[in-house]
Amino acid sequence: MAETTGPSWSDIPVDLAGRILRHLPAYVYRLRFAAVCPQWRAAARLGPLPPPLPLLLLSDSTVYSLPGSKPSHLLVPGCCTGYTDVCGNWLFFSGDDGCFLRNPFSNTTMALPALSLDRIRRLAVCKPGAATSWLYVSADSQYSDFVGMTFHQGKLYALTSMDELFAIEVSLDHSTGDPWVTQMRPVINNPPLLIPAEFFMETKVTYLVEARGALLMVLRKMQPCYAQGVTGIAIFETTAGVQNEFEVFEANFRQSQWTKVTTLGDD
Amino acid sequence: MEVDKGKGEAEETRKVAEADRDTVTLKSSDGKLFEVSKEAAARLSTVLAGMIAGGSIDDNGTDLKQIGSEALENVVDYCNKHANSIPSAALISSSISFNTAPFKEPEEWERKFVDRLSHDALFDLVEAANFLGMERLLDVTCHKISEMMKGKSPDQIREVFNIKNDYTKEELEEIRQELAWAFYDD
Repeated sequence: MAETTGPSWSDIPVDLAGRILRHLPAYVYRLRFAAVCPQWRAAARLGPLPPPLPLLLLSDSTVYSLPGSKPSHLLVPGCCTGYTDVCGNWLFFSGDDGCFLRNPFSNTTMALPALSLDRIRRLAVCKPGAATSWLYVSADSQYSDFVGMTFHQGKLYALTSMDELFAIEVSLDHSTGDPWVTQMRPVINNPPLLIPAEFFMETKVTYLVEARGALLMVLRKMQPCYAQGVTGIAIFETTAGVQNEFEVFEANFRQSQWTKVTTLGDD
Repeated sequence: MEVDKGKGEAEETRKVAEADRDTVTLKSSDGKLFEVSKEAAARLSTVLAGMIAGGSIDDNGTDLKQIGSEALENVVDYCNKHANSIPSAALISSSISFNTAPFKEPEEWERKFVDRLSHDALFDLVEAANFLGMERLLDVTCHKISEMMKGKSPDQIREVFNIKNDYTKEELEEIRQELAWAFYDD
C-alpha cells in the first residue's frame, strides 16, 4: 500500500507564500521562513513585500524586534557586537587598525581608512571603496558634540547631545571625485529638554535613525549601563538587570521640533 | 428569461424559480454538489462573481475541477457563514499598530473556522481560496498559517508543516550566516 501523503507545504505556490509573508512583518520571522526549505526561500526573495518592521540593535547584541517588547540576543553575537555608529543597515566599526562598515543583513563588509584620533571635533568624510584617507572638515565650535548621524532623503543629518538636529550637505568634488561638506545648517534648534530632572540619575542615550521614510530620534532612558548604536525603533522593555525605556520622536521639519510618535508610516 | 410556453405549469414555475434562485450549485472535482448563497459567493469570490455575471453558472452544478469536496465544503461553509454574519467594528476599522498590510484581524467566527481545520484541510482551503479569488478567505487562512510559524525556529516550522530540509551544503552555510538574527528566545 502506498503511504498516504497530504499536500506538500513546501510546494505552496509562490503567490501564496508571499501572502503568508505579509502576515509575518517581523524581520526575524521572514528570515526563519526563508530558512525552512528552498521553495520558501525562493518565494521570500521574489517579493515585493512591505518593508519588515524595524529592529533595534544595541552594541552588546541585544535586539528589540517589533512587534513585542522583549529583548532578544543574537544567535551569532560576534557579527554585530561593539559597533560605534550606525546608518541604516550599516554598522560602523572603528579600531586601532582601521575602520570598516558592515551590513549584517547582507553579511557584507567594506573597509575604510583609519581615523586619526587627533582630529577630534572634526567631521570626516570619505567614499567607501575609493578613498585611502578621510577628508576632515572643521566643525563650527558652537556646535555641541554629534552623537548620531544618518542619511535621510539624500541628505546627511547629525544629532547633537543637546538633541539639536543639523542638515549637512555633502557634494562630490568634480575634479577629484572626493566627497565634501558644502553646507551645515541647523534644522531643530534648542529643543526643550526631553529628560525631566528626576531622570538625571539615569543615563540618557539618543540615536538618530531613519525608518519608513521618517527621520527619528530614539531616546533610550536606562539605569547606568554602557551601550550605543541602534537601527530601527523599539518600545519600552526591561532586560536582565538593566531597565531600558524607549521613546521615539520624529523630526518635524516644518515646525523645527521633535514630535513624539507611537506608530510608524501608515500603520 | 425566456419561458417556454409549451410546457406545463409546474415546469414553468421550476424554471422561473431557477432564474431567481438565491443560491448557486457548485460541483467538486469528485462530483459532489454544494449549494451556496449567490450573494455571498459573488461578494466573496471574484471568480464566482464573474461566472454569475457572465451567466456561466450551471444550475445542475458548476464544475470546479480543481477543488476537492472537502475544500469546497469549507469554501461553501465559509460563504454561507459570512452571508449570515454582521460585519463588526473589527472589520471596519483596524486598531492594530505596526501592521504592514491593511489586513483586518479575523473575526471570532473566522478564527474558529480555520482553527478547527487539519493542516491538510487548511492547505487545500488556501489553494481553493486562491483559485476562486477569495481575498478575505485567503487573508484569514494565510494569517492562520503565519500564526503557526511565529516564535518557531526553522526546524520547528519544518516539523509543524512536515517539510524536509533539503538544502544544499552551500545554501545551508549561507542560511547559517543569515540566521545570526534569528534568535529563538521570543
